[in-house]
Amino acid sequence: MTDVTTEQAAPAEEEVVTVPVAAPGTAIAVDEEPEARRPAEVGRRSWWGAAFAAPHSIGLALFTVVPIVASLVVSFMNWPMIGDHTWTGLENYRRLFDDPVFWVVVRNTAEYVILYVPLNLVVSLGLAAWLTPRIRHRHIFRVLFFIPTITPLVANVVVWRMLYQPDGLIDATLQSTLGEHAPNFLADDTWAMFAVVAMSVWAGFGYNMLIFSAALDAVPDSQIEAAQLDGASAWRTFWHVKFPAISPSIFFATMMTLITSFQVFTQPFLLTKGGPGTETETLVQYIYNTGFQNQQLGLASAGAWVLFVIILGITAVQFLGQKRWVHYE
Amino acid sequence: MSSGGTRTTGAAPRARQAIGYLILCLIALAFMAPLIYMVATSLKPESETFTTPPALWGSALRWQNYTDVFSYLPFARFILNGVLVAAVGTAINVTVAALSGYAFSRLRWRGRNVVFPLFLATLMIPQDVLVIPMYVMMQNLGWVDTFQALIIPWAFTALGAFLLRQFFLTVPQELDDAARVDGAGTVRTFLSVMVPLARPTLAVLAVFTFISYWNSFLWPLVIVNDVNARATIPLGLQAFFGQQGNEWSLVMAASVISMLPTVIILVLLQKHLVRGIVTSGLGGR
Amino acid sequence: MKRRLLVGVTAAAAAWGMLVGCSSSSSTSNQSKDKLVWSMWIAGSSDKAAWQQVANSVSAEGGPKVTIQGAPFNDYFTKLRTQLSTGSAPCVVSIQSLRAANYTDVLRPIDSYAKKGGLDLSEFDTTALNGMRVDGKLYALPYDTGPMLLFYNKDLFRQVGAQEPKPGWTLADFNAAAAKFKAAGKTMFASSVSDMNLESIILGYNGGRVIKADGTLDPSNPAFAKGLDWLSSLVKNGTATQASADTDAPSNNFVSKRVGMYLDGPWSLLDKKGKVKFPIGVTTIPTGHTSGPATFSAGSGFGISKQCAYPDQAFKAIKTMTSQKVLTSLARQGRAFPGRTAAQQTWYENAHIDGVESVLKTAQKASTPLPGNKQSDQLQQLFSQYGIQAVNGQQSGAETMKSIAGQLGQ
Repeated sequence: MTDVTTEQAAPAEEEVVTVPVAAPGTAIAVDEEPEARRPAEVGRRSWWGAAFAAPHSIGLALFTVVPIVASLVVSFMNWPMIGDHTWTGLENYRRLFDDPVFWVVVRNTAEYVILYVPLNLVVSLGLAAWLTPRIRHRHIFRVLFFIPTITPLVANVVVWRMLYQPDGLIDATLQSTLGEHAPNFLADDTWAMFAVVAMSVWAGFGYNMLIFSAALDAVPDSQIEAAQLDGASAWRTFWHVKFPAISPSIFFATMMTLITSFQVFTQPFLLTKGGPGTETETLVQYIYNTGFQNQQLGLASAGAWVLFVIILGITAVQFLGQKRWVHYE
Repeated sequence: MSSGGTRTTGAAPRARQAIGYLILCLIALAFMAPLIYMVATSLKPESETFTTPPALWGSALRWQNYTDVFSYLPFARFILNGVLVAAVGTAINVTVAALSGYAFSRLRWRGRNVVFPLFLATLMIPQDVLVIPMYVMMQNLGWVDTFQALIIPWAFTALGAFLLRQFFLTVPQELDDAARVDGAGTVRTFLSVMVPLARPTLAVLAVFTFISYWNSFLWPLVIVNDVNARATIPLGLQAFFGQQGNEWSLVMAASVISMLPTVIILVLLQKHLVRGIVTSGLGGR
Repeated sequence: MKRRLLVGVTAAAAAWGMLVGCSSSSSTSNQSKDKLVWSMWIAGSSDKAAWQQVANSVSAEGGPKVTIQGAPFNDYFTKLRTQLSTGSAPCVVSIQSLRAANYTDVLRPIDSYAKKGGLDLSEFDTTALNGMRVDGKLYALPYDTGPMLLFYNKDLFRQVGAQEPKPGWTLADFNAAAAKFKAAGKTMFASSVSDMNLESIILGYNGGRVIKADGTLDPSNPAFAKGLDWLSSLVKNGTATQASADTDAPSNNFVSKRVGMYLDGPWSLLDKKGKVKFPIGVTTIPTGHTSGPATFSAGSGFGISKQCAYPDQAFKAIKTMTSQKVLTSLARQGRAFPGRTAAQQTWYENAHIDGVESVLKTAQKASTPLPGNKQSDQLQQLFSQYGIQAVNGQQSGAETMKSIAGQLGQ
């Protein structure tokens, strides 16, 4: 799941491609249409192209386009896992919006996103800025910080459960140093969401850190030196030279992090089961519970579409807002 | 930190740098603490997993935990499933992506300008949104609780096509021409010129596709019924929970095992991975 | 290049063959008259080995070959409905008594098969058998049963100077022991929020229940809410641990000697006995009232799915799987408390725990089967989410039950 293009990206493919997928300096190749210079070959290659693209296109149509369309249809139907399916129009959406738990779950998801995304960006940007090429063994640090990002999330969750438990590492440390019990993180209204977010940031920031780190490396030395000659402090240099230079990467990372954080499932599902109460139940868990525990696939599809629309909306807003702070050189 | 002394010299800045470095090391250590604790716990006897004050080491190093994992659950089966599901899925994905990436960059055909934007558009669809309809589809195909259901639905993600297209666009046209002058057709040019050139990009795509299969949790949770026969690693790990009485040291040993393959890949292919992430945003979470 | 491609394709094909070949044995789609699939919760390899023996006994008796399809207990019931809804549903289905009511639409009543097969149902433990009945129809043959009990650490009780609880002990005795634990700076009781545990201890405390005897839900039951408040007072005064999101925390705390006692069923007694490094005691749930049942009992058994095309063969299988011979052998291996009266003696003899027979008999007498309900799976899920808040005192029992009632659509 990476590149994201918006609706407003024009149909002409050149424009689609200029959407920043990556850090500057590693720019996406310019689409130079080599064939345009060779009209003679067009006819000969014509059906080869379609043939080459066919396996992928068919697979994508079958396993992405058909399901997404089907899910829209299913969301307008009463579709229990067993039994008959009937058309119910907007009934599922009405039920969804009438369900107080659904709104709690939307709020929780928003809470998670609002906590997680800035924290993730600050930590990853901070460390990326710190790990300049002048830091000895920086590649070792980079690898270390990246480990949790590519290991099974389930394994990460398992460790953190052990840290958070009453008598777990955190509690035991506090008991033996301060003589105080730590909060029962995962079972406490006020702490549960923070516990989930903290674990998620730990497990997830490495990816953005790498993107930022590479982007910072690509900022030309000459610019930095010029700023330093002007007597700018390291802080000023960062905000006035480096930050604008890597703003496309930050934009891209923010988008991706936003989109994936709206889909958070594994961490709360395994840490708290969504509890205590519904304090940490997220949209995807709600969809999962509705679909696979309560066996209401129609209702669950409606929930999934609400999530989809939220994500589309956020993406669109991001793209509209990017002009104000993203600088493409 | 002599290597950093190109611009700053003198005792004070050096001391400051040293302190900075020390703090960085401490942060890294704190960051690694959960993982260190995980490895340590995996070697403790079960009765010593929770102690106050916390201890890094138990009374004995119990390597046996690692063999016990395999008798407690069919963990070898989970690993085999994980490897094969990921390998087959990756093979399919890389193959179709190489073909379509080539078609979208160097072949001209009717419909290309319609199909490619569609490919890009599918990248916006979150996988989690697809889970429900995909499940219904698997029900209709009779694929619930099968290996094909674990592999096929996610083997056609569009990302690879995009990545390969970007690569093929950078290949000079002269190479194409040279092959043609030698009498090679489209297929031969693709196989004998393009694919070898694209090997690094293909490798990056393969590694990330492999990792995302290896780590995937929600879909196996939904589609696998016979956990002992068809679970992949994350689902199998989850099976350790909620058995009567968690065996924490075993769970930790299992977690360590499950992390090993990806950590090894990371250490060995560090540079390629970094490049993959940077150029394409692969592996995002 | 081509050769490499060929190698690649061959490797992929081989991998595919391995995957499918190695596991096709448990695929439900190819069940036949003499090959049935049995879906069962499995806790690990040793568990699987024990159940494999049970499966083998069927073919040994001339019945069909039975293949186990296993899932961990936590996922089992989430998966079961999904599985039973497909045409390839496993024929033999393991089911818990308290959940039987939830699955009557996908299970086959087996009374007629029992009659046809000449099975003497009176040989089964009455409570166990009744637990498997919904609206008078029998849905499964019970292999195990038992009332909820308290397991305790004899060493810890001695150490703090508390009297060892006798079967039939009262709330006053419970409080006296709790005082001793408190004086010694120890926690006596492990809080738990899983449905069976919560409902049983509250039933003993004041008779409050959230599912009425007829199986209808009563989440606004004031006595039950009061019971939750009582549990939270135990947490507050240090008698009980904080409830945790981890359902295994109680038993883990017990094994690691952090608590003196916790709630569990006879089905895990011998397993726990093997795990702990202290003498284990067992007693009934303390009663705070004089009339009516003081604990719930539950059991598990084997039923036949409605989709199954070979019900006669499946019945033959479950008949063998719950036969005197098989259940006695399971009892000898120290597994669950048998659902057949005659096999129970073997279990007592094999347990080697002082007074276990009198405790179980007392508890059985004081117990009533925990009835099921269409929504009991959901209720269980809700307890694990909301129960924590009630027991840890973040919400009153009444408030909690109101949230739960809201979610149940009541």
